Amino acid sequence: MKLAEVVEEAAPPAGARERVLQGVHAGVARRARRGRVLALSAAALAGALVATLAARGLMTRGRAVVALGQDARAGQAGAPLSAGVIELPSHARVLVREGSQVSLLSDDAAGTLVRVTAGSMAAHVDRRAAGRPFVVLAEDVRVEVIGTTFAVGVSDGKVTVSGHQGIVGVTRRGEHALVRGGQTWPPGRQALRLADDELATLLVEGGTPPSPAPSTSTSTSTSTSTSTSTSTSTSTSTSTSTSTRPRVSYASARRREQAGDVTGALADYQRLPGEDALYAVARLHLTVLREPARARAALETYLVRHPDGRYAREALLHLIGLARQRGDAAAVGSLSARFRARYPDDPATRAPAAGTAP
Amino acid sequence: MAPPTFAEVYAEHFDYVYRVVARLAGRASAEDLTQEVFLVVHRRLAGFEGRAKLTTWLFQIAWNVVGSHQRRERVRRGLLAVFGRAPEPALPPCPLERAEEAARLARALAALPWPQRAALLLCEVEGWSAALLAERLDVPVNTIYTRLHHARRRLAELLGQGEEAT
Repeated sequence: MKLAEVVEEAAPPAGARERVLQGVHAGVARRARRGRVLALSAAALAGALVATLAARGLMTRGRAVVALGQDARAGQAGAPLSAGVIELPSHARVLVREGSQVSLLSDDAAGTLVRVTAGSMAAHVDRRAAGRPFVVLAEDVRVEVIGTTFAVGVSDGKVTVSGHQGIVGVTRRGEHALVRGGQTWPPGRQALRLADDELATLLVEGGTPPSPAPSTSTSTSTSTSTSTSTSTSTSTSTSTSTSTRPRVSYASARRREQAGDVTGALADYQRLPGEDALYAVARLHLTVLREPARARAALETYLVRHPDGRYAREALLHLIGLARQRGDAAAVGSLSARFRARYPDDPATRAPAAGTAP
Repeated sequence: MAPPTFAEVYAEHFDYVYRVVARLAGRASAEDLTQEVFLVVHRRLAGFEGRAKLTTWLFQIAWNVVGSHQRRERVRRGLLAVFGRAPEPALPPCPLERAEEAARLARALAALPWPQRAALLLCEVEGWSAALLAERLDVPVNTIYTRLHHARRRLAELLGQGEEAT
């Protein structure tokens, strides 16, 4: 066998020239933006330092540094936010609790950046356009809001994120997690609860009435505390869907699977973030549990979340296989066309193409 | 003579860069790495003085970008192995003619040190001469011959082991 006969083709596939050029342009723009952000961040940090020093002087005289809404509306980057509810120029509403150290680093067309140094805050954010995120930084945790009501607290260097409505994405050291309404991150941590009056002040004029969130509506109505991670909590109804679960890792899920506990492994994979776990869910449904409908759902989810992921090619091919199994000629055709467009020179392209004839 | 513009370089040499990158790093990451190469080109083109041929300059950028990628991948794979998180094995989704043979060869190729693998693929598959590769890498031609010799011998050993095992 000759080497050249079996190594993959190296000619660029159709559309690669345009895709790469787009990527280069995006990269060049990103680099330019990063330069601007660095400059702005330096300015914001300097502003925050000055504002903090000023705040200390004013606080000794018992006065609030930032009146509700005023400084934020003026767009002062790096300004410490005083306790109360503040409506930002981007129409997000932020509730800062007494004794908390929260500062607004930026709020402009590039998004909103808030830092929680101590205590806790809550926010109500209407759905944002991509590229204009609402981000809260607390210690080494980054909370990115997708359009929701949530709370973030810091105590003794430990960060807690509680979702009230909608979804927030939490990132720490490259690990990502989604926190939904009623959930707390990290799992098992006592939830930061919002009292009814706090919630009301956040949501009023917020544009989005509170939608029913079964797991949180009960708890917020019965809770009268304004517990934060820095204060003593009197809340008793802190049940969350993840609070009692043990910690799971991909390796432990894999070990369970290898030990034959397929159901347990599947449950573990479903709890884990990342494309490996998601693809493992699809693989188990497909090859072990023989549940094609669930396999299909998992594969489709995988392709939505990781269109260029490590298993995207296999996922697409499995979807074609599943469509063929259920005799769905239209799906086979459209998926095969999608595969050929994405992987025009792939050796497997011939196989799905050959099977597309209804 | 004025240096070429980025658009000219891209239009004329995209295929060449893509092909080199795909050959060195594999098709799966070829687009991402080609993009990285052209980002470097965009940044450094103003400083290109024409002392080397443009293709040689581009090759050296591609070589460095792919080399960095290979090192990152090696560290990533090592870490994954330490924590028992070897990448999810991809299922063979459809029968492929000579798939087993190709997979065995791919595994053997992957086991070669990267400079040897690169020399083998560029010379054996792309048909480059050892002299051309030596010029592009700015190394003596005998270095390329040595890499090719070791690569062929190691590949034969690895493929022989595979056959014995089966």
